Amino acid sequence: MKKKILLLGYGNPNREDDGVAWHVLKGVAAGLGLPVPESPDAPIGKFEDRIELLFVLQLVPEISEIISQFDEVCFIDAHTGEINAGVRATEIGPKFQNSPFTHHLTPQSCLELANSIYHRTPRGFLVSIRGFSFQFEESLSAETDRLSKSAVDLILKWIRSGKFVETVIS
Amino acid sequence: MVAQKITIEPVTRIEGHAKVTIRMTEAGTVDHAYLHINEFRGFEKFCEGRMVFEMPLITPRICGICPVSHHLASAKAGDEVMGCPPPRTASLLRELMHMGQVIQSHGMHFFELAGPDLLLGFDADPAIRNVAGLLAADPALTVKAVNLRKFGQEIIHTLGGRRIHPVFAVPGGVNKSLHADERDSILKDLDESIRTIEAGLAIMKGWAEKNAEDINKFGVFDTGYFGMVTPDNGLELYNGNIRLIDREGKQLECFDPRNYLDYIAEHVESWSYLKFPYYKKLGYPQGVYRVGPLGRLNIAEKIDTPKANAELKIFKSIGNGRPVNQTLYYHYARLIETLFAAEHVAVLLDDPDILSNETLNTKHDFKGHGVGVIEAPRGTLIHDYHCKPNGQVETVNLIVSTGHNNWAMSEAVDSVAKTYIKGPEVKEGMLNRVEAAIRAHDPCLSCSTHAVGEMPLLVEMVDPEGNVIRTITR
Repeated sequence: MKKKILLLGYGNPNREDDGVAWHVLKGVAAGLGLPVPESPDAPIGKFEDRIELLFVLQLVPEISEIISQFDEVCFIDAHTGEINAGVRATEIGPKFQNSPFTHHLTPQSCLELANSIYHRTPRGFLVSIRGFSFQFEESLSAETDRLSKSAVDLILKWIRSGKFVETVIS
Repeated sequence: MVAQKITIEPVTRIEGHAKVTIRMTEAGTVDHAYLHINEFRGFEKFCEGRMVFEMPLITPRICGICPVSHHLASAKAGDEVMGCPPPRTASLLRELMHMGQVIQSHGMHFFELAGPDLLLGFDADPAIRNVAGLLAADPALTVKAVNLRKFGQEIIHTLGGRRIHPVFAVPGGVNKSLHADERDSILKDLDESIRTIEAGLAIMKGWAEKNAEDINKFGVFDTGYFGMVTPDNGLELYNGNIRLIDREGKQLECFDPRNYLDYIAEHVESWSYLKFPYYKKLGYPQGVYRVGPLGRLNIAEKIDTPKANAELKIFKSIGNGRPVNQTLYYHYARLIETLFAAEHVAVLLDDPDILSNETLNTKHDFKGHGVGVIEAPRGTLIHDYHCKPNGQVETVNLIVSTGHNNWAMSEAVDSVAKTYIKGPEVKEGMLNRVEAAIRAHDPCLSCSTHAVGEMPLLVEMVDPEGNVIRTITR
């Protein structure tokens, strides 16, 4: 039986590169032959009834319930210059991580919540794309736009081959 | 021993982050602690030139945690700009959505952010002082807490129809009516949600009894209090006048929120990007005030739902006739408000007009200027728009809840640092308390952006020459 996969992008599409995940999901939808949604609010279709694409503004605790229904979850986000890569694809595991001042949740924390509350831990992956500019813009910077296409290729390759390969693209 | 400075900063934030600097004396005691917050005025510029009917869709993107508050405040401002007051049903439905927002936001804060502090203790290892630790300690409660937040989110989703940003309130009303089956679906989970909130209140009260000493020395100081009230000074979260009381509880003002600029001014400090609002007539800092749950319960004389009103009476007894001024009681006040919000959901759903299809006023009498005010979970939120005759927004002024509480948060940090940090050896428990002083206010530092990574704390101890003599990251 084929695995159920969730591609979960998050970020703020009004803050330029912070919303790169939204652009990546659009690219993946096109690559899978799904209708490309017009706005981040619009639902994105399913591929073969087993691969679901979802975009949210921010990770929140109840998303752990959705996560728990899949075999594999790929989080898609922006990263800053602290991570020395243009695109980075890594496997992640459940681990609660502190965000002392805010309601910010990490993918690892979401996996931990799925594990703790719903007793299901899908395999977790994180594909992050370097963001260069976080102004009040709806489009991506040229650099991040270029990298987002590499991220799309990487995700499509994983879906088609069934094998997730940890990757760093400079 | 040299004088030194300790800096606590979430280091991976792109913008809008807070930083705490604790300046030590040569004797090793705290001289003063400051909370610095970046401001996000950029969003106001971003809105200029947009059409006023777009604003309820754009402004929720300021925040991923309380988008509904911005959505509704923006729609209220739009009602004024366009001169199209919403029909009664639309106001009821907006208020219902707002209750959903209060339940999910307050529920998340108490059970998932503050809960670990209260249930596991300030001195607990940070590795377990989180929701996962809470889950291990009380799995049933944690599952209920997640369901409580989900209940609030379901109300928003039922009305807003989208998972990310609600598309619901528009100038003049709302674009969707409520169906009987949707009403029944919300009601189905209401009793369980109320039981969860009551369980939280029992935890809070038990904790307060056991930790009275900590509560009474943790960020205790007098301020004014500010928030919305019903016509007879009851708790109000959606639509009403603003009441301001002084540190003794005496009413200073009760005014139409449209006139907020007649009463509030903003002070600038060199060490913070965020301004410090204060009551004009008293000046700064005498006129500083607190908003949010503690502020609202201090200005309210009653609550119009029975269970929450009974809890309010107990809460009021803490102050012995004066406002409750202990920072940690923000948590207690937050739960009482959550109880009110849940009870109020039942009141709204029982209203005979709630299922009406008359949800939009399409007749306009363009005014060009509008102020929309709402009590967001964290406090009073003000949207103020000036528009051209074609509806294009010319200027935007946003005063967000965290701004009103800026002085109080910094004062709480200073007070807690002075109380708990003794000597150069900074222990985990001390830092936990400094964090908790900020967390009690549930600030929205910036949900507008984020990126991969945790938000660890960086603690730097700096000597008078600026040399870092010690760094702690966790």
